[in-house]
Amino acid sequence: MSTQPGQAVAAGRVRAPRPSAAERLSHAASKLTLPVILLLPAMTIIVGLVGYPLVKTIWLSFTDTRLGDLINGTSTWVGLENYKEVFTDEQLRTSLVNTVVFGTACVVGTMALGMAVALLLNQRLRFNWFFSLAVLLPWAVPALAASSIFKWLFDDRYGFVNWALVGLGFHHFQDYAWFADRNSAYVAMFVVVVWQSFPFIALSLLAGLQTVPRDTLDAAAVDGANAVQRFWLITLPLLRPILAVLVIFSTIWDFKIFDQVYVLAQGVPDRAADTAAVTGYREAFALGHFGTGAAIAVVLFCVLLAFSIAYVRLIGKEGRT
Amino acid sequence: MLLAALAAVSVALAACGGSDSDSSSKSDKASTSTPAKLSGSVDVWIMDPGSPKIQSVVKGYGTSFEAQHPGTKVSIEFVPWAQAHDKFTTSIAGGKTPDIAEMGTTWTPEFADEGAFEQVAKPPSGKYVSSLIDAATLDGKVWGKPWYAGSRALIYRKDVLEKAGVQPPKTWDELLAASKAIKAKVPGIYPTGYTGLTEHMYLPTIWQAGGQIAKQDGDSWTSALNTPQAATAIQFYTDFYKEGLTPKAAIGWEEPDAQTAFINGDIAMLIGGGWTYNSIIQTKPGLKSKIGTELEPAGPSGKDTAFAGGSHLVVFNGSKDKDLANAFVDYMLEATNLNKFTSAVGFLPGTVEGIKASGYLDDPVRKPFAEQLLDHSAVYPPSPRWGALEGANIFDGEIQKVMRGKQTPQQAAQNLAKKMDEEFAG
Amino acid sequence: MRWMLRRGWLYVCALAISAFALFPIYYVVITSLKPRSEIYTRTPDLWPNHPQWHQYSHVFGEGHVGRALLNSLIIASATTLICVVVAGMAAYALARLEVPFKRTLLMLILTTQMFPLVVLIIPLFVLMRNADLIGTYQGLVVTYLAFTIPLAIWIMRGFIVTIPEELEHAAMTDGATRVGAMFRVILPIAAPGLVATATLSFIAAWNEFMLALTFMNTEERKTLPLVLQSFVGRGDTDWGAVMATSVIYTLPVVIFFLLLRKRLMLGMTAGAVKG
Repeated sequence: MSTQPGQAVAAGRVRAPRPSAAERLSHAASKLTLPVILLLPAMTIIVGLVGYPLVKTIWLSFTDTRLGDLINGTSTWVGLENYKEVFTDEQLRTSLVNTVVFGTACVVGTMALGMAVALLLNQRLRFNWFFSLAVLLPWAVPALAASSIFKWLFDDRYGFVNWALVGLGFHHFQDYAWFADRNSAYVAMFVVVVWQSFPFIALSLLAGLQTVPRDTLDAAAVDGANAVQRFWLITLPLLRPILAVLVIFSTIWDFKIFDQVYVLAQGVPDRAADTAAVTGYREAFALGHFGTGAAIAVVLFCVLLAFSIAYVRLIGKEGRT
Repeated sequence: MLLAALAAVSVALAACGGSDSDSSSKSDKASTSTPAKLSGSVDVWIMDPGSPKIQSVVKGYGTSFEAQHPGTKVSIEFVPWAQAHDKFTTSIAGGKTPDIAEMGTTWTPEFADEGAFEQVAKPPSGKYVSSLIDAATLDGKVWGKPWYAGSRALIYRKDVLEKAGVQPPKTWDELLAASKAIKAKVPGIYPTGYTGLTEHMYLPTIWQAGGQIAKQDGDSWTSALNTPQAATAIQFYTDFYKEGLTPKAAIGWEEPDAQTAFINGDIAMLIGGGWTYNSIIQTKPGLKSKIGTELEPAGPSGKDTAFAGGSHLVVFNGSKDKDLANAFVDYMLEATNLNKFTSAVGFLPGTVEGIKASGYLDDPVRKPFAEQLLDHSAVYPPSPRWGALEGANIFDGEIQKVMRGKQTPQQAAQNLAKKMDEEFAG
Repeated sequence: MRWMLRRGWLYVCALAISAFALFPIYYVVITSLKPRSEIYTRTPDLWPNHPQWHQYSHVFGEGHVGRALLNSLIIASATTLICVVVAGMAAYALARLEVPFKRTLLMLILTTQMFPLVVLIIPLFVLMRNADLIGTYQGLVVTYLAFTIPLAIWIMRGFIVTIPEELEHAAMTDGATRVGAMFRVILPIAAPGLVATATLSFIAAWNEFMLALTFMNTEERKTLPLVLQSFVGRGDTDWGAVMATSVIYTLPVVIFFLLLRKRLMLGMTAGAVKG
C-alpha cells in the first residue's frame, strides 16, 4: 500500500476504503489465532473430561437408574420424579438446607481467618518464616487424615478438646459427645473445614495484598487516614477481583465437601447432619438410586450457580471483563 | 459327522484352555493343552487387612501358586474396606472388573443379582458353614464360596464380674441383672458397650427374641419386624442405654469405638468376635488374664443366635480366565492355606473342616467364637436389596431415636418394617 | 510505647493462630512416635514418653510407603507443571485479549466445578476405561488437570486483571511482541499468583483420594492417600502407622512451601507499580 492514500486517510480528508468481507473475515480470524492457541489446551482438557460426565449426570437425574440399569443401559425415564423426591423427602431436603447454612458459615469463617492471617503475614513480623510455614501446613494434610485427627481431638473420652475445656473450668464438657448431636457436630466440622481451608485463602490474599501499591497507602497515611480506613477504602476495593474469585470458589468447595462430613457426621442420629454431597453419594452408591443421586447433584449445582451469579453481580465488575 | 464332532471337541478344548486376558501375560493359546495346565493371568481384589504382615500372607498365596503353575500370573490388589462396596459398584457399572474378589457376605446377593458373578456348583452339605452358604444363595443358585467367617460372642472382664459378685450371664435377664450389679458395685466402669450404630449388636437380638428380620416369599422379601418379638428385642437393647448401663456417647459409636472403650477399661462387657479379642490382647497384653468369653446371652425364646459375618470368594463373569480363577480360589480354600490366613486375622475358616483344624475348639477362651459360628449363628436376609438397606442406615436411625426416648420400641419396629418393605419393593 | 503495644498484640494473634494451625499436626507427629498402648489412653500425653521410631521403618518397609511417595510425587508434579502452563495461557487470553463469549466461557469453566466428584465417578471411569487409561499415570494426571485448571484460570486471571495494561503497552512500544510482553511484564508481577496456583494444583493432586482409588488398581501405582487408607483395617486401625504415614505425607509439601516462600515475598519488591 503506498503511503499517500494512507496519509490522506490519516489526515481525515478521505474516508478509508471499506474492507471487503474476505478481509474482515481474515482480520477477525487472525485476531482469534492467539486467543485460540492460548485457550485450546485448557478447554480441550476441561470439556473433554468433564463434559461427558456432566451431561450423563444431568440425563441420569431424569431417570430411575439402578446398578443393573447402568450396566445394561436400561434406565427408565421418570421426568421430574426425582426432583420431586428431593424436595419432599425430609432427609433430602434437610441435607440441602444443611449444605447452604453450613457451607456459608464455613466460607465466612475461612475468609475472615484467611484475611486476618494475610494481613498479619503482610506485616512482616519477626519470625515471619515460622508463622508463614505454620499457617500453610494444615493445607498439606489430606482431608481424610484431617477428619480422623479431629474426630479424635473431639473424642468424648480421649479427646484433647474436652480435656482442655474441662481443665479450663467448663465441666459441662466432661465426656461430651460432640458427634452425637447435630449442632455440636457442625461446630466440630466447622473447625476442621476452616482449619484446612484458610491457608489457601491466606496465601492468595497475601499475594493480592502485595500488589497494592505501597505509595498509595503511604500517601493516604500522610493524609491522615488510619489503618482501618486505609484497609477499608484503599486495600479492600483493590482486592475486589481476588476476593470475588476466592469467595466464589470457597462457596463452591464448602458446599461440595464430602470427606469431612462423611467421616464426622456418621454418628449423628438420623443422618441429620449430612450435606448434599454425602446424601447424593448415599443415594447413588449405598442405595443404588443413581437417578436420585444425580438429581441431588443437579440441585446442588443450581444452588451454586445461583450463588455464583449473585456474587458476581454483588461484588461488581472486576475491572475489564 | 466325525469331522463335526472333532470340531466341536477342539472348540470345547480351546474354550477350556487359557486365553489372553486384559493385562499383559505370557499365556499359551491352549487349544491343544490338557485341562490340567493352567495359564493366563488373574487380578484378585482382597479387602485390605490393615496390616502389612497379613498382606504378605495373602501375597504369599499368589507367589506360591505361581510357582506351582509356571506361566500363570496372579496379581493381588488390596482394597480398603470402607470404600470396597463403591469400588465394586463402579467397576461393575463401568464394565471393568477383576477376575476374583473377596466379597462381603452381605454384598454377594446384591451383586449376584446384577449378574456379576459366575455361578458356583452347589457344594456338598457339611463342607461349609451352612449359614454362609445361605448368604451366597440367590434364586436357589450359589454364587460364591465361603472363605472366612466370624461370629460375635460375649467378651467380658472376669475381674469386674467377680467384684460385682455375678456369674457370666447366659440369658437376657442374667445380663441385665449383671449389668445393674456392676453399675452398683463397681464404680468407674460401664457394664456394657451397646452402641447405636452397630447392627451386628442389635439385629441379632431380634433372633434371640424369637423373631425374624425378613421373610422370603418366592422371589420377593417382606419385613418381619412388625412383630412383638422385634419390639421386645429393641426394647431390651435400648434399655441399656436408657438406664445408664452403657456410656452416653455410645449412641454414636461404631464397633471400633466400643472396642477401644473395652481396651481402656471403660466398659466391662462387649459383643465382639475372635478378631476383636485378638486386637484387644495385642493392644493391652495385660488384659489377657482378665478376659472371659461366653456365648451371646439367650433371649426369651431360648435362642442365642448371633450374626455370622465373613467373606466369600467370587469369580466375576467378566473374567477371561475363569479356569485359572477357579483354580486359584480352590487353592486359597485348601485347609492349610486357609488356616494360615484366618489365624492371622482372628477369623475362622468358612469350611467346617477348617474350623475343626483351627484349634479354636480346644482353646477355652476362643471356643465360644467357634461354637457360636458353628451352631448358634445366622445370616441377614440374603436379598439383593439388603446391601441397600444397610447403606440406607435405616436401622441406626430408629434405634438411636428409641435410645433418646423420642419413640417407643413398638413405633421403631413399625417404622423399620415400613422402610424395609419400601426398600425391598425397590 | 503505643507502637510497641500494637505490635505486641499482633504477635499474640500470630502466635494464637500458629498454635491453632500447628497443634493437630503436632499431635500427629507425637502419635506416630507412641507405642500402641499409649495411643489408646484416657489422658492424652502431650509428649511421647518412650519415643519409638519403628513406625517409620515399618511403613517404609512393609507398608510400601516409599513407592507410593514416588507415585504421588510424579503425578502431583506433572499435574502442577502442566496446569500452571495451560491455565496461565488461558488466563492471559481471558484477561487481556478479545475473546468472543468471554463471560460465558468463564462461567462455563466455573460450572464444571459445581458438581460433587462422587456423582461423576462412574462416567469418568467409563471414559477412562474406553480410553484405556485406567491404572496409568497419564489417566490420573489428565483427570486431575480437568479439576485444577478451572480454578487456576480464575485465580490467575484475577491477578493479571489487576496489572495495569500500560505496562505491557510500554513494553510493546519498546519493540516486544504481545507474547514477549506477556513473559517480560506479566510473569514477574503475577508471580505470587502463579505460586499460589502452583501450590494449589500440587496439593490438590497430592491429597486426592477418590479418583486415585477408582483408577489405580495395582499396588505398584497406589498413591499416598490410598496407602494411608490401607492401614485402616476391617475393625481395627493401625493409628501409629496412619500417623507416621501422614508425617511422611506432609514432608514434601513442607519442603515445597519452604522453597517457594521466598518467591511469594518476592512479589513485594518486584514490579514497582507506580500509581
